[in-house]
Amino acid sequence: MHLLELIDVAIGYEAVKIINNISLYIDEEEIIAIIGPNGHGKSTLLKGIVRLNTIHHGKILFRGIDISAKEPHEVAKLGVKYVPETGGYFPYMSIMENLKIGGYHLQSYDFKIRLKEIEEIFPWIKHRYMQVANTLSGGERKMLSIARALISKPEILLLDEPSLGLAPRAKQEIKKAITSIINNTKISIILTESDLTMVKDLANKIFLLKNGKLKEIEIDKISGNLEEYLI
Amino acid sequence: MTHTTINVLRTIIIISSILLSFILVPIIGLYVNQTILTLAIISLIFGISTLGWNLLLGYGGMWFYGQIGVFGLSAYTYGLASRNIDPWLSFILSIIISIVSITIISLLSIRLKFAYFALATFAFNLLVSAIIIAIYPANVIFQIPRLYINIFGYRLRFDEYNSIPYYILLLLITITFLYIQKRMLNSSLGIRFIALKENENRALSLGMDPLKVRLPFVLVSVIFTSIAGSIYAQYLGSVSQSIFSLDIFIAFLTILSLGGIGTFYGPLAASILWTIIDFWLSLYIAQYKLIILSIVTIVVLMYLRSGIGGLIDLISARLMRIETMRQQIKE
Amino acid sequence: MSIIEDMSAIMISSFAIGSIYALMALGLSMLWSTLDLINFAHGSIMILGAYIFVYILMSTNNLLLAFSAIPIVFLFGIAIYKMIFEKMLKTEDSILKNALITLVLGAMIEQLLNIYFGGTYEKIPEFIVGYVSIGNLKIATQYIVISFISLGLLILLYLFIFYTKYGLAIRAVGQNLQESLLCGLNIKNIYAVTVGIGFVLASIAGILSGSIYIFNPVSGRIPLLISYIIVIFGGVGSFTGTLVASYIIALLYVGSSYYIGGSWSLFVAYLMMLLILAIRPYGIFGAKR
Repeated sequence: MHLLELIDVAIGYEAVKIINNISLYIDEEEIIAIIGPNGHGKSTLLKGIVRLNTIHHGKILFRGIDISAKEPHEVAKLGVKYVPETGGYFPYMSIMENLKIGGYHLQSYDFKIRLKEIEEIFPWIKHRYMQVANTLSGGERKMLSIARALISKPEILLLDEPSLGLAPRAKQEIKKAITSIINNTKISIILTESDLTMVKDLANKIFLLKNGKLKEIEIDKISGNLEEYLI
Repeated sequence: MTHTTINVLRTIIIISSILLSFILVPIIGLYVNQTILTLAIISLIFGISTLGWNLLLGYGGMWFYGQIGVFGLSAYTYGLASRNIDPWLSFILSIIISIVSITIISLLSIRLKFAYFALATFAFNLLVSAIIIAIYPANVIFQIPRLYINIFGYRLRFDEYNSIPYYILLLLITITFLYIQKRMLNSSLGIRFIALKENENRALSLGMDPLKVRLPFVLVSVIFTSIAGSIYAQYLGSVSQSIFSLDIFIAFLTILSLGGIGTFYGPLAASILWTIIDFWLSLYIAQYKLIILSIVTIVVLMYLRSGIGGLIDLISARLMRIETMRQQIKE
Repeated sequence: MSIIEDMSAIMISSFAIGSIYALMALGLSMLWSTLDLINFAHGSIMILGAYIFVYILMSTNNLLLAFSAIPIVFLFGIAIYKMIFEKMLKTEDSILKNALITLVLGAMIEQLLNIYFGGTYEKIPEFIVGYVSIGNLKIATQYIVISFISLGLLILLYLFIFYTKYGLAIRAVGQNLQESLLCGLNIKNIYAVTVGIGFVLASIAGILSGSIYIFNPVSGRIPLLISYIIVIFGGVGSFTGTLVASYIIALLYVGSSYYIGGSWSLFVAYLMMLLILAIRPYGIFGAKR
């Protein structure tokens, strides 16, 4: 039994199918990257897993449980956390309040422990708990949204284009944070990216999502330049 | 049936219903039952007002809640003025007063987001009713003079012999209003009006001034509602604060919802339906009439996307689709 | 009466009334900012609370039992949410339709109250009868009782919204719906509770003001308008803004009633609103949207 498995899934919005016949699975401590041209359904795929859009047919199993008919908040409570491309935080709340919502279902002693773990992955947060979220820089907001998902100790983290729109230095920090998550926790990660430098050193498996089809790319066969896959 | 046949059918239905309404209803009213005429007149009065509301709310996406205020204000203005001035002049006066007050409010609030405009206009209703109740607490204005026409030097009141002149007048007003609506909505101004509803931000970024685009529609709506209000006052013969009561308020809401917000003929069809239902309910369970109508309205708002008007459009769309599929099968 | 006594009377009235209005306006603001619900039935619910209170009081002669009107209204709010607004969640134009529905709901409640309680005025008897004298001024003790009760409730509300987890959840849902879902928050339950709280706040305002003023089924209309003026003036979704605005508007309203006369103070309030809409529509502290 896989940690998360998609079986012949078609995902889209109310009447429109964006991707079709997708099958994918991820196991414990695996890191999967999905690359592909923009608009071909990477976000849709991740959103489908957390039920933010419509699943037209197929099944999604989390530890054997069918989640394809569940509500988004139920999926989140099971331990599948999605970090959107933008806006994954509460703009008018402080960092501490943001984290408190992220860890809403935790007991208070649990929360304190997790907070320490967050501080290790994002050291800068330690001194800024009272700062209101919309005064943070772009990179810091991204890190906040990852922290928000992380604090509830998820089993799977879905990162939607984590480096989108960030300056090179911020991208490095995100990459460092993700590496830290990989090294210090047992969380499995699925991330979608258009920036391939993020993907190269992080993932065990790389998939290409293009024209609605998902295809695994053999990592050994990569000559170093993944750009060609994006066309 | 081809597409053109369906279109021709539709035009025939419209024209024949217009002709029928001009001829059939008066005949039935005269020779069979007077009530038909009363019902018809009331449904047209409310129909016109709701069409005005629908124009702003449904097509323009404007949260305009001032319909009752305009209706009542015009009724009162006409009632008061016509005691001293010529009925036709009072008629025009009530229109002018409504236009002026709504324009002032619009100038201040029309550019704001939906809820704020709603408040300004909703408060207008409360304000008008409060002021009028304060000035004329329990008084009912009786014996309101009617409009008239001059024929061969004789002044004939509109209800000299029967209410048919009122009916014909209202029918003409309704048709004119529908025509003006259609022309306005299809004009370049109308396209911008609807665009403002569909995607406000985009429209604004294209340099549209909400005031310039929306105000003409507001004025048209107000003018016709005002006309309806004045006619209501004189047809009833009296006006009192009951015009601001829940009954008329719910009536407007019910008709709007039943007819389908944003449909073209919806409010008119619903008005006819409502008049009949209201009449029937008043005869048997007058006290609970409001409750029943309220529940119906809520249910319609919850489940019937586009009311009656929507149903009409749905049927003609279905016919079109069946036709298209049939043609595709042939090929 | 001297000017000082005039002023004191006005200040005390304004404080009491302002506190009551603050409760009602905060309820309205919560519904608006959390659920996008423009509640035109808020005034009717205010009066509904007062009527339920009176009814229980008359039937049981027990003041404490009469306060069970509050949990009744809370359950009523949850029921209304589940029966109506929850079903509108994924509909097109739901904000407009919900607003229209509240309009109809308010009228329906008024009519039901008319049918069952008739056209006469009611009044909730004072909790503590009597007067307190300050110099030449006599203030009904009830005013002081009301001020204390509403102040206490306002503090409790503030603590609830800003210092409890559930309050945090309510604020979160109002700020970013998708994100709240992603954090595992049960939106429907939070919405239901928020509606319950909003209704309760309105009905408490009704019970408190019903103990100093007589009321009938349509007495909720003007408070509805004033609550909206306060919410707009203070900024939708801003707790402190709404609070401050309540006292300012109450002062203006009471003051103009005193000097100009009751029916014109409504006109003054309306002019104020138009002015605010023209100059600073997003409130003194700025609304979140």
